[in-house]
Amino acid sequence: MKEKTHISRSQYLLIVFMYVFANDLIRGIYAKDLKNNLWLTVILGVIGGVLVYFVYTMLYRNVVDKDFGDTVTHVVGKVVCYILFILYSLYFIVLVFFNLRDIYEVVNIYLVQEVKLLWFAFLVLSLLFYIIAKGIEVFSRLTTMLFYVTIVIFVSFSTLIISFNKINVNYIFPIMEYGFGQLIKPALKMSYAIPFGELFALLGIYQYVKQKEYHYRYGVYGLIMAGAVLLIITLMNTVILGPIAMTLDIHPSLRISRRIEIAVFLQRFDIIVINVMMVLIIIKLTVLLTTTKYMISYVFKLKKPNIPVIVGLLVVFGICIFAPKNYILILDFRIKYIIKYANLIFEIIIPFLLILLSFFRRNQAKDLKAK
Amino acid sequence: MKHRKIYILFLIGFVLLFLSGCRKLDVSDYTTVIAMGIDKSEKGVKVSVQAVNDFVLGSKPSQSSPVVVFAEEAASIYEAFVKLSNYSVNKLYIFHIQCLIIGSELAQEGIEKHIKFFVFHWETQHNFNIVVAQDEKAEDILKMRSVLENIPAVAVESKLENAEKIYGMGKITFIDEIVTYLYQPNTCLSLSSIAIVGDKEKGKDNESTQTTDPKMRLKVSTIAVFKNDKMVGWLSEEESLGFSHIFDKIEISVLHIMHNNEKLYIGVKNTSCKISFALINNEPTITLKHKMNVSVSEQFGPNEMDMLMEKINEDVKRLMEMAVDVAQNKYNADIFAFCEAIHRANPKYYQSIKENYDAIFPTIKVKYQFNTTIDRTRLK
Repeated sequence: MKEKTHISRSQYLLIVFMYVFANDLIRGIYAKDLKNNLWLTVILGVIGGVLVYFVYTMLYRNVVDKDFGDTVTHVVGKVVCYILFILYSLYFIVLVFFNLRDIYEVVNIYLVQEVKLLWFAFLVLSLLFYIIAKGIEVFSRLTTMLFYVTIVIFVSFSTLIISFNKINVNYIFPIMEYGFGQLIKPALKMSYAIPFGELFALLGIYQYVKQKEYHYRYGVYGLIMAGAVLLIITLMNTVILGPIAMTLDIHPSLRISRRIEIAVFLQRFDIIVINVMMVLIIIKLTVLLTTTKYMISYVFKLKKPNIPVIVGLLVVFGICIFAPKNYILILDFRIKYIIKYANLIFEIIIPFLLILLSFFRRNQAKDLKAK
Repeated sequence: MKHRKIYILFLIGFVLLFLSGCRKLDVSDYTTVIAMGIDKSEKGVKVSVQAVNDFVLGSKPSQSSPVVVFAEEAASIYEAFVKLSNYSVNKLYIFHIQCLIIGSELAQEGIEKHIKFFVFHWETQHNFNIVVAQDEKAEDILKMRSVLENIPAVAVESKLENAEKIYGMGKITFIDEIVTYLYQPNTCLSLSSIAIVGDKEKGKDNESTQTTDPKMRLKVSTIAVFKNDKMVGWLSEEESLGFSHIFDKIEISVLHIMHNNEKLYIGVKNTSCKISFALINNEPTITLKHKMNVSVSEQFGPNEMDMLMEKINEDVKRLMEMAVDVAQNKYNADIFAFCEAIHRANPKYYQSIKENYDAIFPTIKVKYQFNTTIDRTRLK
């Protein structure tokens, strides 16, 4: 079922980086409770995310020489593997919808007010289909190219923001006023949900890495890089906007980009930031859908693997039609149910059980390899 | 392969065709609002906008005014802003506003409910200056012409920036800082003010820009003090300077000292002040560590330096004490954010006084420490 294609370890690193960076879009949902301590939680979240990712890689360490589907089949058997893959495909499709809705909200408010959700969804989903149909190699090359664009924009914008605004380091203090306990719960959420979680889909991409047995650490590097960038953005938000103004928006990066002004009229840099956000979200959605495509193709042994992609995209389009139009309701649902339960089940409970079981199947894997 | 490329090109063209409909307005369909004013009115609020006349900004000089001011009253800013479209030939676009002027009557009544429009409206940038019209209506300030700048709002913005860096009367405040001061418990907002000097009726005319001695001038005036969201009064010029020495970094200013019965001016450069807190003998004590470079107009010998330094520091201390005294005893408004210094240094103690801070603030002892460097004497 696996495409006979490979990506390099550095391409995988950049995919992980862009995938995690995409979650910056709604990082602000944590700001309301944490205020000036948000940056500490980001650090803890990265550490948690790295640990979770490290545990995920145990699956490939315990069951060697197999692609993703065969690995899971080896651990839990065919039937359970098929059930899991179908459930995960649905879960990823739901995540695609939520991410699509996030970026639509930003585009609709700040960029093109007249654009309708369905038309926007149609365009983005068509683009996603095109990228996925081209295959993982093209996608990884595209990601590499977009990575450089993103980094140049990030560095130049950060420099502009720091140059044009007053920095008040005092906004960071007092550190941990209500103790360390206050940080733990949101840090755990950050580790398995947004921004440093939802990493299980990356296992579907990791199988394409050349000599994957030796390059587990590159995913960790990508995660740490994205964590460092998100930490810098969080610190900039805190010391420039202040802990109160930072909480006004679930898109603090966008709010701070509106503080750039060059010579009175050169101001609308937020549009470039929105475009970068679009790029990042499209990369994240491609990862989710590529893994979905792989899982469905594995279950149904499809000869035309693009069929599940079309079906998945149609399902997302259908959700767009029937889901509430009010973003607040969607965000509330996401925080109350998706992050609390769905993310926890699909990113922690099921993967950790899988990995636990893989330890029992480990010797057999070694035996097979020896044979 | 060839057909495929044509198909893709056709698809891209087709999509672009629809994208043009995403934003129906072209730049020429907008009227750029460069400044806004809000005043108290019987209906609730009166919103004035200073809109740019695009024709005047072109290469051909025009006799018409570079800006035009529209005003409308309504129950809320949003309603008034929408109703302003009745006066404009194009859609009013407020992304580029340079300053928001608050009328003094409205400032006394309370600004929180009005400020929210600028905090949350997607079209507003977050880096425009917010000032109070001193004893004037914001609308009147917007109507005043400027000689040195074609667009009056740009002149106001430049004056504020200058006044903050030079002399120290001005204070740049963006919307995010206002939010911080309004919603952070116990800190009190302070805003720069702008005043009309001279005949305001003549200041509206085009002729006022064609003379070397205009009958009206706009000047940056003293600091407005807020308690909660209501303006409670003004600092005097010296108090405003003292406030700036504590609160802001002044690039260039001036002090005066008496020496041999002569008034000497002292050039001040690059001031900064660090606010720290400690409980000394169980009494809340704020220490203001002030730092600056000075240059003196007269020649002094090496043995006179200590005396000179002492006199300079005394003068700064006098200004700072005046500002602290008026904030503590006249307005009981923590415009220096001492409470945040307490919060940072001793969060537990701050939690214990947080609810009762109004009673504590006037009793806080303030100590002054100076680190003054004399760059040179007899400056030429």
